[in-house]
Order: sequence, then C-alpha cells, then structure tokens
Amino acid sequence: MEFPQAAIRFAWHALHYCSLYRRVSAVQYFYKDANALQIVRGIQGAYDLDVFIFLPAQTGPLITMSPLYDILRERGYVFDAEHVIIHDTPVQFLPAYNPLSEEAVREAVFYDYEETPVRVIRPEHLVALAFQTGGRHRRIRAEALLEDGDIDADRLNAILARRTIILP
Amino acid sequence: MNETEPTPIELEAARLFAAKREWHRRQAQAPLKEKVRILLKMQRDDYPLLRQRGALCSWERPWNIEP
Repeated sequence: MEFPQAAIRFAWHALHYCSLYRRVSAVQYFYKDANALQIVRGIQGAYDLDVFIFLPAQTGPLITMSPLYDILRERGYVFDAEHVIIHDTPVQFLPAYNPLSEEAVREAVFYDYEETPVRVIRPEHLVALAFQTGGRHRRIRAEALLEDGDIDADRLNAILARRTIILP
Repeated sequence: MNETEPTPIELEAARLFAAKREWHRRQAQAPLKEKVRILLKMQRDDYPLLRQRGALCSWERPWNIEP
C-alpha cells in the first residue's frame, strides 16, 4: 500500500514540529502563593508540562504533595491521575528531588511568554537530568537536544563532571 | 550502604515518574483526532515563544484547521 504524499508531508511536519528543539516552550501556568518557593518549567517537548518545585521542609519518612493538590482542588482544577488540568493543559508538579534537579531549578533561565516572565530549565540540565534518570524516551530526547547543537558543551561537560554522570 | 537508600523525596519523585509513564501510555492510545487536537493546541501555546526565535516556516505557525 502506498501512502498519500500529503499524509507523509503532514506526518513529517508534525514530527518536526514536535521535536524538542522546535518546542523550546515555556507555557507556564503557575500559582504564586502556594508553599512552593520556586516553580520552573521542566521537561520540554511534550504535551504535558513538568513543573519542578521546591517543597517546603517536611518531616517523616514520606513526602506528600497533598498541600499543593489541596490548593489546586480548592481553586477548581480537576485531576487526571497525577496531572492537574490547567487551562486544558496537563501539568505535573515534581519536587526537585536531588542535587542536580535543585541546581537545574536554581539556574533556570527566564523567557518572555507574552510579557509574562517564565523560567525554563536550561537544555544542558535537561540533558544531564535525562541521562541521570535514564529510560529510553528520556535518552532519545536528550540525544535530540545534543544533535540540535543548541547546547553549550562546556556548561554541559561541567555539569556532567560535577554530578559524575557518564554519557552512554 | 546508606548512600544507595532513596530519600523520601526521591521515592516521591519515582512514584510521580511512574505515574507519568502510565499517563503517557494511556495518551498513546488516544484516537487520532484527539492527537491532532493536542498538536494544534501545542502549536498555539508555543507560538509566542517560537516566533521570538526568528523567522518561522509557514508550517511552523499554528495551522488554521480543525481536527
């Protein structure tokens, strides 16, 4: 069976558009008065948004996101599993969970999104986080970023050396 | 060794990442029409930033179509 050329063009454009490089996006929906100290857009190139947060200090063997979720529920947002649907966009809040992710949040850069300043994790940190966390999909995204050439190699190498991350 | 024991925050992050994997698995099974709707939404959402990066090809601008 032969695919129609128009369908092939559509698929190619869609794939290209969705590539990580082209989607350096920072659609950030955040609420500023919660307990989180910083909220930073994390992983790019996906429909859902990852928002890294610094959680307030908690005691006990388990960390809970309940205070955050409670505030969102009070504001009328609905949940889809661990995602909060905010303005029709699934958003997942993730705690900065280790020194590398904390550093990534601290060093996130500002973008201007229609006159709203938003903070986005640097691509070098995204690559480092992807390789540190592992997994096929993350590795593919990280490799796409590396191939894109929009990476500051010196900065990336410094991060990898500092965090003892070895690229496969 | 204590170093290898996950901290509570690492455990919570692992739980959230697992939930994300499951969510993406379900998303992958969505009908084509829903996937196109998502693509169009992503185009609209990201356009304000993309246009700041310089000239865009015509197909990189939001497509004026309905899924």
